[in-house]
Amino acid sequence: MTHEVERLESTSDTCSPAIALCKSIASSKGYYQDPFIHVFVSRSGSRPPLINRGHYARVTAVRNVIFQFLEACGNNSDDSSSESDLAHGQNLREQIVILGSGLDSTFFYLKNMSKIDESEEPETEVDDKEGDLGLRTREYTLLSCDMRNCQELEAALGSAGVDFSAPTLFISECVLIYMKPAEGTRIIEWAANLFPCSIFFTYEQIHPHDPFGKVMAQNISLRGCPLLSFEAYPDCDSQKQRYLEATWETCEAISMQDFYDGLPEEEKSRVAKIEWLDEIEEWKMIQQHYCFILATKDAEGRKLWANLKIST
Amino acid sequence: MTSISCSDLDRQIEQLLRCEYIKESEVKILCAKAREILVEESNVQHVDAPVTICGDIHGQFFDLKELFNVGGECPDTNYLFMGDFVDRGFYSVETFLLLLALKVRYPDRITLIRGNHESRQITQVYGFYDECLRKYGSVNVWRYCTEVFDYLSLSALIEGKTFCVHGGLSPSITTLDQIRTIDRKQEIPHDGSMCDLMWSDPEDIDGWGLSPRGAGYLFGGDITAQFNQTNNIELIARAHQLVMEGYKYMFNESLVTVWSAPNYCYRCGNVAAILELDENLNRSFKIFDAAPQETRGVPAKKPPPDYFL
Repeated sequence: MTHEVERLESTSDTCSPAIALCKSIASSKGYYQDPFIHVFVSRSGSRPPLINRGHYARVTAVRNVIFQFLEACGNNSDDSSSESDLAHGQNLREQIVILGSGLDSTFFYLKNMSKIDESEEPETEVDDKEGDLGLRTREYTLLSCDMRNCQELEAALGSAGVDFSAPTLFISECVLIYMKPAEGTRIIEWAANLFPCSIFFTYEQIHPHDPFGKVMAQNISLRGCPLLSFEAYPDCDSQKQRYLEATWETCEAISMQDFYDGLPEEEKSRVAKIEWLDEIEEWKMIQQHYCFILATKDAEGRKLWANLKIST
Repeated sequence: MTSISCSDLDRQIEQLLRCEYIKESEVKILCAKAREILVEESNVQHVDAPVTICGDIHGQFFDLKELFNVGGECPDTNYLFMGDFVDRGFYSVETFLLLLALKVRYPDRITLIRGNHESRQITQVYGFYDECLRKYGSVNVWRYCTEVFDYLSLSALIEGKTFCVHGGLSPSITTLDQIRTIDRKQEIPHDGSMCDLMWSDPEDIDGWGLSPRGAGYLFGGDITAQFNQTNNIELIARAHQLVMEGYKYMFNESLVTVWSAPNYCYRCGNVAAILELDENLNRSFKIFDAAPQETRGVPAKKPPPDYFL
């Protein structure tokens, strides 16, 4: 099951269609397969190659983590399901919770790949939008709540059938950074405390103080969705510290550039052939201003996540 | 010979300086006249000092005006622009036509050489084609302009000592005479010497390297030293690469990158530079910032710069 939570209202209205459109354009260019994202998009357009390539990197990183998560759970399913059987009389089910999902096609992509099997994988998308938005099926729940209120978030996930003891992957792509630092940290702490066997994967901006970062903060602010936590966690180290202090057991944070550089050479050369990218310096610069963060927790010490890495 | 009066040109220049584009019929005549002037220029166009060398502009019209504020108006100051007039910015049409009108009005005062964006293929990806279509309702203006692109010179040589080119060197070129023999009146090819001049980048390597851009080459300090020695050149001035500080020397000051688009793409936060050479080829850089918002007029629903949101 996928659980999705929508993001902050204004941010959601501004960003979600824009992100879905970018992801759809990158997909239609051939950067990656996503047969469903176009359904979430109401208009067409084009984006510069740099933006297409960036969305490719972002989607690839998220998928890498999802596949590793599923594999880690699958490899250990015998052990964990027996424990779970004892406790609940049913199979242990992995869960993916996508925070600030917006217009997200991840569930449908996974379902289409048969990565989601009815018996094993609830997915919830949570969107931070006021209103009656919501959808619930056995495998997929779309719900809305104010994520800054963790009690509300917890109640919403509980009512969606989320099992707090099950292995859970949280994904937040450019979500926490739009909140005040304390609000985002509360979510990170809340997840660590409530989900003893979980992963928190985040993608967001870093380096607010150099010229590119300053202009980025201004420009995104002009869209009506200021990066409220940009300055509080200015680099990979401070991000890492943030998760570790929130009681995550391990945390890895790397720049988007390090992630991209670490991709297999044949994959990079495939991507390079899709479009002529003449924005080499900008491409480097924009990638240096985003990072991926992977925090894990396995309270029972099963070393479930021991092999997980952002770059595979 | 196409005929166009100085008073018509002056009026067009005034209009363009206000960031108003001129009529399609005027563009057609202007471009025809520009081709007549450019066809006479050499692939290595001789330029006298003093002259002010400028790098990429990329349709950032108000920043080009800022450049003229800083460097002096044309024709009071002699200018050499090293290509990439169009694409990326919001005002490629006004930018290119202004520079072209100045070229036709003052052919000996302003030199325009070709950048890798002065190409049919690239302008269809990076904005100039769409802008022409949006502003004129047809692709005619884009077609007239791209026909001019084919006539732009490939490089310039200031007083025999400063070699100016948009990108850099080519493994197929050892001497300036080899550049002179290129038949340049064509779309930029995907490879070969003409392509390399517009696409290559200097890099801290020995010899040649593969370019991450997919066209041109990376060339090292040894290659640069050899080229300069062979051709009796003191300095290679080139553009093509964003440098946050506006200019950047490499290889013991035998090569300099000059970048003239401040806050490139309204996103990068960089300053821009121009390089002034006096009559004795003494160098001085002038640094400038993006034009202040209030001089830009009302940006009528300009799309905000892209990020990963």
